[in-house]
Amino acid sequence: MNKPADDVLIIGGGLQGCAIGMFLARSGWKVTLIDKGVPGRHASGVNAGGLRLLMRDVREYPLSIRAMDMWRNLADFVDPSAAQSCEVRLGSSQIAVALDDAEMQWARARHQEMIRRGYSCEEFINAQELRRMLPVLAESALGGLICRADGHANPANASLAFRHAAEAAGVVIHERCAIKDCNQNADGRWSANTEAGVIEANWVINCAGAWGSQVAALFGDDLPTKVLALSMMVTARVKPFIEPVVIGIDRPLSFKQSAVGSLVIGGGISGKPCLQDGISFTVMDRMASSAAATLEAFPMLAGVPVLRTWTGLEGSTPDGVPYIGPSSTRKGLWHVFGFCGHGFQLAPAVGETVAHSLISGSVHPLIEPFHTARFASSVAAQPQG
Amino acid sequence: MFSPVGAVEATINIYFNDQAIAARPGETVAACLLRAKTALFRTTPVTGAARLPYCMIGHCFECLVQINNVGNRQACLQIVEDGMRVRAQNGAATVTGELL
Amino acid sequence: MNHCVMLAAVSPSSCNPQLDADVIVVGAGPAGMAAAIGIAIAGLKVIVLDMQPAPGGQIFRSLESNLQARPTTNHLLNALGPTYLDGQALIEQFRSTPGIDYRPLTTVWELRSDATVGWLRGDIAGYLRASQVVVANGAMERPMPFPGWTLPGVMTAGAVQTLLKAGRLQPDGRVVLIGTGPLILLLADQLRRLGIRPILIGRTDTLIDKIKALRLFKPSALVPLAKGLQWLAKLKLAGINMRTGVSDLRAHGHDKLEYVSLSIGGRKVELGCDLLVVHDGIVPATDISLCAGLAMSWHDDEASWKPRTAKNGRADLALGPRLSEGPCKIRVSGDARQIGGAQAAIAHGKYVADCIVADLHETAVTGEALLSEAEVVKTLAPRPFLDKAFPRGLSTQMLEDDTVVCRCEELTAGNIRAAIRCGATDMNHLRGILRCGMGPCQGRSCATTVASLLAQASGAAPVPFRARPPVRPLPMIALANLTGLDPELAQVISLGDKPAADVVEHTHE
Repeated sequence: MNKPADDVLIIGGGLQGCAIGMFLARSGWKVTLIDKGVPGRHASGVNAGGLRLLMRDVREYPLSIRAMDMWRNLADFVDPSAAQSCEVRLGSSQIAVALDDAEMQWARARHQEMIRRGYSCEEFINAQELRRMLPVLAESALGGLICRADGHANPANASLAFRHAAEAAGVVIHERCAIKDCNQNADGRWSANTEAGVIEANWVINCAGAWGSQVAALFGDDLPTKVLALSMMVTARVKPFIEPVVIGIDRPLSFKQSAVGSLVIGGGISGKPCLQDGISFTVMDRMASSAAATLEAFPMLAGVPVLRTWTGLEGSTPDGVPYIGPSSTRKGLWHVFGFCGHGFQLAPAVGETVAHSLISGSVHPLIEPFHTARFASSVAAQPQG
Repeated sequence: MFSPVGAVEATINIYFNDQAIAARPGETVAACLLRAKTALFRTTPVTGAARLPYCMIGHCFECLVQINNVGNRQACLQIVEDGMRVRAQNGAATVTGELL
Repeated sequence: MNHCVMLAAVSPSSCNPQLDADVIVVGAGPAGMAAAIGIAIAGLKVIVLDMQPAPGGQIFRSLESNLQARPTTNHLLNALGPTYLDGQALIEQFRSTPGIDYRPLTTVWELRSDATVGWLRGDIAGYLRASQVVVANGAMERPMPFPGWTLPGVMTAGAVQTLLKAGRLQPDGRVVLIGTGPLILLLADQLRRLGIRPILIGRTDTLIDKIKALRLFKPSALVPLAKGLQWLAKLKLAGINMRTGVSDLRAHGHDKLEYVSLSIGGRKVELGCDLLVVHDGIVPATDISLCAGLAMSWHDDEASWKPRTAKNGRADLALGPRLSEGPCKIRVSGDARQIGGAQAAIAHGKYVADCIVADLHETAVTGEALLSEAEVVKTLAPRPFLDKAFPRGLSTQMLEDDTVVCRCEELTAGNIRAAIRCGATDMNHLRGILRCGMGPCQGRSCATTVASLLAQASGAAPVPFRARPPVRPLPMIALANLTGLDPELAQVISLGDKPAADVVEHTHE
């Protein structure tokens, strides 16, 4: 039985916040969204754009599968020309390469585990099949895992597309509007002091990304995250030679060729984050290991020059999967943050399931694994909302 | 466009698009190619426009050529070596076989 | 799996075993050489890093090799003139001063405010650390987009000089020189001595500029003024076609330059042309300074940024957080600090050396240093007059919408204006959506123009693109084997992309 349409304040206008807002507004809710800067400028707009099921934590798998379906049919959710601008490419696949025996063993074990759980999208491939797909791969590659339906999209355009879709649905967005504090009256109605004045709502959703823990603390909730400055390097343009995205198993390797031909290389290396100022620094010497991993897999890239690096602020949780769920201490409050550098692909499904949870009054099964009290030391938490 | 001032003393050879060009030890690849009346060093990856060097001091990056199978080398900063194989870089750099 | 970077042995400095030198100097031009000499004479350990194969910077480029090649190069040296030969003594002193660890063909791709320098030589990269860094990486031509400026056959005056000095090549065919500044007159004189007659020398500056500049005239400007007048007189005598007050320059052609058009005194002129040589003055090269987080100030007259420094070259850091903690250990000298020419660069390099020596020896600034300071003032004195007499011209031409601004990504002024109209308000956002500044040159040719366009729309002062290392291309193999820093700093804090293989059951059902 759905609750009657309600009002909500969303803190943070990245992909998660805009997606949630869009779905709620389409269900008739009154949605106000505030962002301390310009929406989508941080992790949402500057990630690698991977649309990846491959090697996800199993807890994320069902949600990710739903999200993949939504990316595939993006024009059903945002308007067609916006969907086009997202440059969704599915079917180019993502491949995890095993470069030594230990990684190969892990790949086999993972494959078996996923089959046991009923997921068949991760295929185990041998050296021959691997070389067929990636002729330029090093001789030392032994095999790996592939998700053929995986791909990538354009994160900056996607953030914008979801923002516009949210606004078209009726979401009111206040830019450059930080939250100062928030109080709840006896009836549970929130009153937030923001840079645009006081905003009232029955619900608040914390989608503040790397600032999520700080915002949670405003409400007295302790949801620990570690802030990282995930770094990428970009090379000069090279003629197209690889379609799949390649990731490492144990090695810090994450590699794709962009639409303009440059190679975008990550690997989970962190630079130096400065959360307060919203900026981050590349630490070049840390990137050496991801360059080394890239060359181990693709030795012929030795002479390709790195032209620039960039880093973005991300929040990561102690167990590598996000917080998505109601506050365990306050009613009418949800937390949706801490995506550990892989929230981009999940966003449409996060929007759909969170909105559904609020409307229906119970937490959607796809997001149950991400409940916010899972690190709480005390057991006395009362599930709310 | 450019011709030598005085004797050249070009005692070594480099190759540009497989053609041998006499080179003076110690000069830059860019100077050598310009003396050989090279019409273009590269074509741009965006529109395929022909480019020759503009600044000659390493700031404009117009003089990008492929040297010994490695692309994106600034010809105005690279010193010639006997037997060096230079190719015009057409569009984005090519990645082939073994480098170095 | 151990992701820690392997370290090479770091050779200790006499001062601090963790450092590679007392001072690292970036650039072996006049300022860099003068600084290194002063520092080495005082007994301090100095490493000089420079991109070229021999010392001299741009102004004295290939001087050693051209002197060694006499008599073959006599004609060339005659033409290049005394300003070029002036560098001989300095280069000889640089070569013969003991204690200078000079590393040519070495590119700097990172500088941190704590005096850590990332270097590249061939396919090997590393880090060096010192107590102080002197940034003396000189100047570059002022970016001046005009229709057709990307055509093969359009080059800067600096490029032609480099081809003369390092390439021993002179222009042939129909040559046109357009622009302003002492350098274009110097080049014209050098070409004249080689017997080359440009079909036109068109200057954007006018007599009125000279008259307006008179109030800034100082006795110290007499020598450059006399030199300039001499060049002009000889050009006139040689019957070379020279005009002032030119504007509306365009280069035309399909795959290469075929002809130029311009306005001379309001009259439209077209000239068949094989080589168009342009020059609109020079501006400090700011790539390394920006990477280190130095505070920069914009100067409208010069349409460029320069680092904010004290007289002794000590640089300020920009506000806000930074990569390395602690005080800024960087000084900037020579044209990289402010355009002043070779003599001013030498004077300032020496002055910086004297101040650094006093700093590191923890003594008061010496009488010697005060003399150096006075020399700096003296050598910079002609500048205000010269800058006013030769104001920038080509870069003030109204930018048409279809003129290329970002050469690497071939974006036009129209592209940038459209993005600004759609709401783009900051440089990095513009770069992200349009790709201007993302190409190999990383904004060297387009940043000042893009920033000016943005500033016109917003009214705020132009700001540069956010600069991150590497500021010069770094081959993957070089990065993969990067060595030379403390193991703790090189530690990888990695976010594992892969979850545990032995998946733990989480009960939520």
